[in-house]
Amino acid sequence: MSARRPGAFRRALRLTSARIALGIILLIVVLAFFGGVLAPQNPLAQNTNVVLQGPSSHHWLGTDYLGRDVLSRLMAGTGRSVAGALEAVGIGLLLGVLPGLASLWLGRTYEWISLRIVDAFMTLPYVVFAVAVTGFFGNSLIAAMTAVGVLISPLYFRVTRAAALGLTRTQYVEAAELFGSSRRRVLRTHLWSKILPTLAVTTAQALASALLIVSSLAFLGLGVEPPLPTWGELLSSDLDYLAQQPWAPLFPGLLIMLVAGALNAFADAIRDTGTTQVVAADPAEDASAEADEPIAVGIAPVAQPVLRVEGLRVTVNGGGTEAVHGVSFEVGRGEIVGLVGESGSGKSLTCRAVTGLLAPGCALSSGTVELLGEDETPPVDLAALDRAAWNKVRGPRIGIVFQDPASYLNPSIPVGKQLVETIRVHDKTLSRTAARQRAIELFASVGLRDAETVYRQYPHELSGGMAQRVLIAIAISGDPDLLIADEATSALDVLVQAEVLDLLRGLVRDRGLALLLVTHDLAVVAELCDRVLVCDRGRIVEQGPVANVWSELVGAES
Amino acid sequence: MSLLSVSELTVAYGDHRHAPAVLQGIDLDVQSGEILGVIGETGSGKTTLARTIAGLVPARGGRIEFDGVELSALRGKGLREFRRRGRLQLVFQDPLRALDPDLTVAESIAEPLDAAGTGDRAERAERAAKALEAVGLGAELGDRLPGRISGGQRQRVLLARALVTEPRLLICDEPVSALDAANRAHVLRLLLDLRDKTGVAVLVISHDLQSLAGFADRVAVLYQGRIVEQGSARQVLDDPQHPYTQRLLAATPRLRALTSSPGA
Repeated sequence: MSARRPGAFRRALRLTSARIALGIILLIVVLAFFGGVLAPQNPLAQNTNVVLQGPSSHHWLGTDYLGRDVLSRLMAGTGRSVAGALEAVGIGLLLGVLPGLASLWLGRTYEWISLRIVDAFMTLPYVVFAVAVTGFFGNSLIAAMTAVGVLISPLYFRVTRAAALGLTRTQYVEAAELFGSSRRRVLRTHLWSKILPTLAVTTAQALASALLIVSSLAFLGLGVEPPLPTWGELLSSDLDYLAQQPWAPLFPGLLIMLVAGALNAFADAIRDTGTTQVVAADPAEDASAEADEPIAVGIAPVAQPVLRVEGLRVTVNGGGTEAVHGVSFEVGRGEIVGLVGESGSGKSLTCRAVTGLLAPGCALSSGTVELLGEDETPPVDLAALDRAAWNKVRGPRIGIVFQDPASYLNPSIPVGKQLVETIRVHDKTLSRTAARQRAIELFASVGLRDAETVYRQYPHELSGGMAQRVLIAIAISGDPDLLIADEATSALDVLVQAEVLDLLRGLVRDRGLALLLVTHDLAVVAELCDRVLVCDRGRIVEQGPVANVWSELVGAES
Repeated sequence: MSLLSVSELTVAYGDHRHAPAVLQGIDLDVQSGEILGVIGETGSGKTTLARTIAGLVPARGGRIEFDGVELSALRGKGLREFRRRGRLQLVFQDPLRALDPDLTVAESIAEPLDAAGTGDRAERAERAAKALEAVGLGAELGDRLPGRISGGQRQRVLLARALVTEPRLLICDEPVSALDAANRAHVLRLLLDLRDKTGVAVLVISHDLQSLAGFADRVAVLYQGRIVEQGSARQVLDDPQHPYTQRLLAATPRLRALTSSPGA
């Protein structure tokens, strides 16, 4: 057990922000234990001569309505506030991590049941649930925070389960399996060191939330046992004297914010300094070790594939940097596949490589992108097409819809005419009147009411949703097999977005299209997609039916 | 009797009955001390073949027999015990992903011994050091992390980890495709030497005919999930029967020159 990589904490502490955050956290820990002792004055001592005073040399933060020293009360109240938060997080950890790890051993039935339970708990709001529980158990902070802990546990469950299941798909865990390692051994040797940083991040965030919840509950009077101070109780009693002392709530408020902020900053630092998986080999060493078979996360062959991407790699900066590292997936006829990821995850580059629309300086460096036709038609290798050949593919074979419809429409030509042009490019035999008729039909089929009027309108006369419908009409005018929607609904407001999603769903159903939906919006994916591919740092890290991937996603992204 | 005997092996991904077969009716034999090359393009099912024989992918039909044991029938405890003996090892394609980034080279190499509970800690460390030496790496590399050594070294570490249990069959999935020419020759040379010294049989999977010429004793050609041709390396490379093999060879002019010349 020698020469390990520096642990996640040590790496995080190279960041100044993490050091400051840790300093604050340590200060709070000291206060939690010794706040009452260190307090300059007795936090319970009342003095009616100095009621509601401002900050002074004697009372640094002033006094409250009973003449008690605010600073001392804040310091003395730390312990109870922190203890409540720790209790909740501890219970959450225990109730979440163990069942999460159990997913490694237990089968699908367990998974199904546990996920349903977790779903149910996740719908409960913390504060309301805690208040309800204290209705049964009396005005007890312990009971309230136990309730909060129970509600935090699904978070741990999901994070642990997602991390554990994700890691079991790594080759080194597969290798361990081939050596005959027991699951417990695999967990100890390979998984634990990688799950821990994730748990640390979750814990720091959960502690911050729990602290806010403790304070909120105390603010509501829950678990408050006068005259013993807590932060939330200070905040609420200050509010009663807001007219005389408008600045007073500032101190407990700031303290709560400071601690929550420090915890979150520390969590960010651990996460940002990299937890696992990505190995930073010396860049001088051969890059060829990476240039290899693409990562294959549960590759599922599709019944009737229309698009097949294998080992796609894309370089940026004129070939200097590789940003997509071997992405493979398929999209089948009548199937809606979501490609999700944060900005910078490589999903847009993947989409642009597939559609042959890479920006200058970007290039498809290896891999195949095949468009598969029906039965006898040979597959088209999109990676090898030149500009002229692309024009024969875009339109009749692939329709594309982008985020910002307005910029893809010519502002000086009526939209109907633009559609007619596209139609006649694909089908040169069509007469002008027939093309016009077809354009109006298409407009109607994408749900544009009064298609005749729309036909004559200019892009600026259309709403965002209408413009997007026009673009969809143009995209499907060549009767393509595959429709690619790149953030097609991201710029639309929620209601219009829902309509456009309905439209897309209808098109897939009625025309048997394959739809690849590129988006950062998980809600859209959950709403629309059959399968989802999760892109992260240029790789597909997860793929599967939406229902399966969904729960893991929520855990990971929250 | 063959060391490994695969008969009528069929593999399909997906649970439903009509999932398309990735491998269909595969028949293969590997003798002790033999090097069999399986060649195929991306998507031909060659990696699936390696993973199925190793037991990472369940077979839908057919038999896999190894050293008199019917592997395809082993489950649970029996399978684990078989694996702990380490008679059959799979060398993964991508050493960077097949090595835990948090374990030192020595720890990784000793892992199969740890899993089997072989010997005590000192003995395992000693065997790991020997395995490192056997693949031509210094013992001082044992303290390094996989991210801190070169790709060629990593490939050899992977090999050392497979060899530490003294297996009778190594299944190598594209052992050299990620390496540059110099490292490639080095690793192939190493495998040949090992075969000569220890009599280990090697099933090597590759998409690259060139790396098999002068290395494999026999070659099987995998095309769209079926073995379309197999025979001695010379026979398949010099006188291909199946149109696919012919096309494959035609696309590799340098190789033709190499294998046709008597010295190759």
